[in-house]
Amino acid sequence: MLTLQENKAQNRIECEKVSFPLNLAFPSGILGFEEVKEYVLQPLPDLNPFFWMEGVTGKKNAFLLVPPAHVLESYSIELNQEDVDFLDLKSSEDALIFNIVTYGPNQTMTVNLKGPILVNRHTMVAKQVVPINAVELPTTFPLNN
Amino acid sequence: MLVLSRKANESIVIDGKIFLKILRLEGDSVKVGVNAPKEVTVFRKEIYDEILKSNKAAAAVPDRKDLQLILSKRLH
Repeated sequence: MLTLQENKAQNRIECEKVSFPLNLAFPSGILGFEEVKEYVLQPLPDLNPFFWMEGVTGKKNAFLLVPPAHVLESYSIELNQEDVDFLDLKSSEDALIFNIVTYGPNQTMTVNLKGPILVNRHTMVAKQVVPINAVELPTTFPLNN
Repeated sequence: MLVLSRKANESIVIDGKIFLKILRLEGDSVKVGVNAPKEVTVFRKEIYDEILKSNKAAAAVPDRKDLQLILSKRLH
């Protein structure tokens, strides 16, 4: 089990100077889109802090992502050992965390905190994980700027 | 739906690669152990349904160009 914590004070993306775009491998795909195994992730120019993740194969589905540090004060997730092994995370520093944004009617935006996208920043292997503490986390957390 | 009865410590094999074992019966809840290849995802169904619904709604995102227009109006 590994606990990852992201606080507004420190942003993993900025702190660790990740260079984009990232070519991500999703061996399990994403729930509902299991057949797409590769995505390209990049920041949206002029639309900081949002990111765009687009499937490379198949229907080329895309998602809008945001790092949790821009959504709430503190976000803590407990990963089970299977997910830690799947992503080959040796420490919490190996992981990048993103949350999927849903763009709703009337320009409302909500964020899925229950199923974050985790990326191993060294291997580029990624997975949508459901943390052990998922029951406390909503899939429709309102995003207010 | 295939219905099988199992006692504690008995198992079910799916597709020769997914193994379900009934570990313990505790009152009205059952502890189930799952062994599956790592690419196979395993979820409690209610969580699966919730995440699936959220992912499908999120994937219906406006086209990237429209999105940039909408988001920039919102952010500026």
